[in-house]
Amino acid sequence: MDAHKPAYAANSVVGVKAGRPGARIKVRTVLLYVLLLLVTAYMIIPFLWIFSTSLRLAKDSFALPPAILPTSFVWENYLEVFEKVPFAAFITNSIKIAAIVVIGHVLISSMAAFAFSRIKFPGRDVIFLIFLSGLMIPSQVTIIPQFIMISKLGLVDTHWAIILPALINPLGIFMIRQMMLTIPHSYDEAAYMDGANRMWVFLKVILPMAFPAVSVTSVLLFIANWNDFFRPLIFLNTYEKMTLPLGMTVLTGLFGTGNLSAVLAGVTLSLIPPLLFYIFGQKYLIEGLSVGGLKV
Amino acid sequence: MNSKAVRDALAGYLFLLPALIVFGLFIAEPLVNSIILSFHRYDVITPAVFVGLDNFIKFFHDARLLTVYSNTIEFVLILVPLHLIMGLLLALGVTKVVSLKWKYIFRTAFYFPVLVTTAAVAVAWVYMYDFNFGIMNYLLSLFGAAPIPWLNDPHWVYVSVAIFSFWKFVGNPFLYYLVGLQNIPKSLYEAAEIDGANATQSFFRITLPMLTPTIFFVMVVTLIGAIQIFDEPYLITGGGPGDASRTISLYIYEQAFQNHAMGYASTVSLSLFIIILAITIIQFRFSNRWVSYDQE
Amino acid sequence: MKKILTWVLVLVFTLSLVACSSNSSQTASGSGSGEKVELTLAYPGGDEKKDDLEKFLKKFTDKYPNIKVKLIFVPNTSWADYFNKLQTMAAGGNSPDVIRVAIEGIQMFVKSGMALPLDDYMKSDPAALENYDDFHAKLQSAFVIDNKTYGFAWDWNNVVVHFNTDMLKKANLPVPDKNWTKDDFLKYAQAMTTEENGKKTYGFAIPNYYFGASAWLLNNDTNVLNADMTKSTLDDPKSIEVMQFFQDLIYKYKVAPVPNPKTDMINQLMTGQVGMIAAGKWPFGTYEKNNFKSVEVQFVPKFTTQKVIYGDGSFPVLKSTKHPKEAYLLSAFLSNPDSQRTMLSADSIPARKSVMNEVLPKSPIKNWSVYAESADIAVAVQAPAEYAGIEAIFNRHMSDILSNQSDAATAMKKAAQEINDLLAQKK
Repeated sequence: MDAHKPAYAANSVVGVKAGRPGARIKVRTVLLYVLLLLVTAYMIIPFLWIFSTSLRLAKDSFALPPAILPTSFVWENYLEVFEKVPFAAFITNSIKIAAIVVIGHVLISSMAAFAFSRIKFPGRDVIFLIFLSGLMIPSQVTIIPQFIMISKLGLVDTHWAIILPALINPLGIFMIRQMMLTIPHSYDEAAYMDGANRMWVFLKVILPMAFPAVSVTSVLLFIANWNDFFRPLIFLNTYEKMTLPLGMTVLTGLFGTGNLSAVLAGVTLSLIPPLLFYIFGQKYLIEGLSVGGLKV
Repeated sequence: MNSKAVRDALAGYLFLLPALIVFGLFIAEPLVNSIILSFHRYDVITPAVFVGLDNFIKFFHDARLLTVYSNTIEFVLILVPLHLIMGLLLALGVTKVVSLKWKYIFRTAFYFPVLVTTAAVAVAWVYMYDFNFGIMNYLLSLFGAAPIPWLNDPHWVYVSVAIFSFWKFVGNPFLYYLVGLQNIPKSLYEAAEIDGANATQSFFRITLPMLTPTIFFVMVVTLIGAIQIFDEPYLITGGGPGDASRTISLYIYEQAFQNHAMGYASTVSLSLFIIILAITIIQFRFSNRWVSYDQE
Repeated sequence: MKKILTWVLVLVFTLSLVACSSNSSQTASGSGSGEKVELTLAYPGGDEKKDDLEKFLKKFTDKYPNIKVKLIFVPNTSWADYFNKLQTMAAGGNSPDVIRVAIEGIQMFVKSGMALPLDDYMKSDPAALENYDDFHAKLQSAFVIDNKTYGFAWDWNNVVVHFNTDMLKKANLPVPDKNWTKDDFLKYAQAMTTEENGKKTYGFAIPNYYFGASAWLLNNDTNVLNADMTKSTLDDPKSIEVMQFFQDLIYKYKVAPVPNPKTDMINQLMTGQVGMIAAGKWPFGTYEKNNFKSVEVQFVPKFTTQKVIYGDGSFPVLKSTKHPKEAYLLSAFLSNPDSQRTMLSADSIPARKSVMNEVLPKSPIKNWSVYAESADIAVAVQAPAEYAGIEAIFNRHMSDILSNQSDAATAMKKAAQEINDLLAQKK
């Protein structure tokens, strides 16, 4: 092959279309696209089914053939969702909890990462290892005593029961520390020489430079908390406090006596925030993962 | 100098303080409490009663525990390779796509299910798996195949969960691999081309070795996740039929939060912890043999 | 440096403030009459009675202006799950004052010392409770334990067979009379199992829940537990016979669909996917909402005998309440005829004889007497203090049977063993 070809071509299978070599390569490309499209279809069809069935009348929801494309447009099912359960509250609760956790994480984890990466103090490495080992403790171990503690504090059925334990994020601390380790100390020294104190260096110099790691850990943490089902299941008891995942299971309970379409309308509605989130957040996710260095 | 060391220590601990507090309160203390609890009988309403080794004796005589653990192992053996390999294949495929538009489309399609609320889509999938009226068996009937008892047969439930799990979560390893692949310097491939290597050779000599840190990371994370699997069996199969898909997390949940046997549940959860710890340590030990962090 | 310190201190203070404020949000001080009191009433979510209940609670505050009632809906997947959550709330110091509880939970609440005996308050405040004798004696007896009264029967439900009358017509069958037998039932199921143009219908949806299945056990002269609820009788051949019959309905006679964890049999009846289901009065709320009128009911078919199961509910007061007198007033008020008349129209049956006789004839079915007659002969669903665990064991093994993973004998013997172990455990 031609050594003068641009670098990116080396990584791709698509070649020049002319001639026999080109024809053979084209078949491989087509095959690749077909396979990828099949997987894409596999990913998308359930969503289509959910959406289309949500628009059917209750009595038709189980009727065969099932809907991949909408056959009717009963938008009332969507209204029913809001009437039956405090759906808006579910969404705002989820957002509130995930947002507070992320804000807390940004501060707590980056402060800890700063300490681990830039300050010498006794026991630093030991404590870091202990934090990391916390990753391996399954939540099933800690949840029971956490539940007892939260009961005793009277925080059951409050959002704090979910927020507080989620504020420690060893993986996040690890990734941010990784990133901070790559920042040259010359920046710090310059700032100190200008008379800045540690906090200023942290807030105005290091933290901004660690932004990719902070943003990717924040996005991952937001998603994890948004989707958390286990903790709300255990700690939340009443409707108004529930988060979306828990609320969805309640929805089936309610409509379990009648309306599959309305349940699926609820499911469709629950897909909108992540979709929006993805559109706005994926740039940070991809960039942050690449730059933030996934070298474990 | 001495006073600097003291100031450093103070600063270090102050930056670390919030993380230390949360870690202490919600990870360290619960871990210790969990161990203490495993020697007691406690149902949250009445005070805890010290029962010595009763829970441990019960642990070794619990017939259901054997089933539950073997179920968990079965899930691990199915899900980990599934995610590990399929994630890689998909990432390789998408990397080979040249058109940026299609890259974006595939990336979005594969990652989107990760974002949506598991509880919400699980609700939909249960209906899809319905034996008599679900869309899966309907599709089978279009091909003349017999309907499959997706949720009612102890072997098919694993397939059902695997199909759902792949759909919902393969986006995670996919994304990590994608980033890992992007980070492989193109110069390596160019050099290999010049030396006359073909696609297969570059894959096994360059891509795979350079990816080993990512593969290792994905393997560790997926394994820990699969051992603790809760949402999928809880939401789709309910642990059934009978105990066929009851995993260790489901069992702990049942013991702690349905039977209110907090002491025994703690014992069981500690056994899970030990297993995860052992497996992770073994993985790290062996990683020296096949994971290469060198950047040549 | 100072900034960090302040920030940390703020965090710690915020945490403690939150902890304190949650604790002090409990009901106000003092329980003397005349002082403003707020009671919390816990109600299982998904019962669709929210608006009616709130309207009715306003009437309570009209009568007793110093007592406000806050309604808490507790979503749940079953009675056991609901009681579980109530216990969690109690453990967390968030105990409601008055709770709706069914017979499935009353033993547990009483035996664990959580329920408050109401006899003293009944004596000191007899006017609050209208006509105690109006409560159907049998239904009320469920809430009188060890000679102490813990609640006043509000609603009750039984299990009968519901028919989709359109499907009956199609199969050229009349609604059976009350003496129909198991063999008649099988014929009905077979007649309504059809396949037309790829559309399948089934004759019957198996009642894969404790209450429903128990009803059928009763008709074979057996039950989940023995008479004094100390041992399980699921391994009795008569019990095994019923469960094996259920399995055969699906796999041998093929007249019943395979149930999945989320099967909704009421929906299946309404959409004509099954011709018969076993349920009480509760589907009628859904039938009404969906304008489903082609339904009729009949007693569960006779195996060796014919009985009827019942479960009922009331509003016990929890001992942890800071306002026992006011809570009693609420509990009594909620069981009065007006309450039953207003809120128990469609989907449950009032437990007061006067209201029952008033409301039942208005049911949209010809055989409403099936509900009225059954109260006198009904047998309570078996729910000792360990109900939650027993129900879980039973459901688990029943799912094995209905999924064809085990024959009935093996599964039921295992279930009986596990239930006996559970009952033998010291608490």
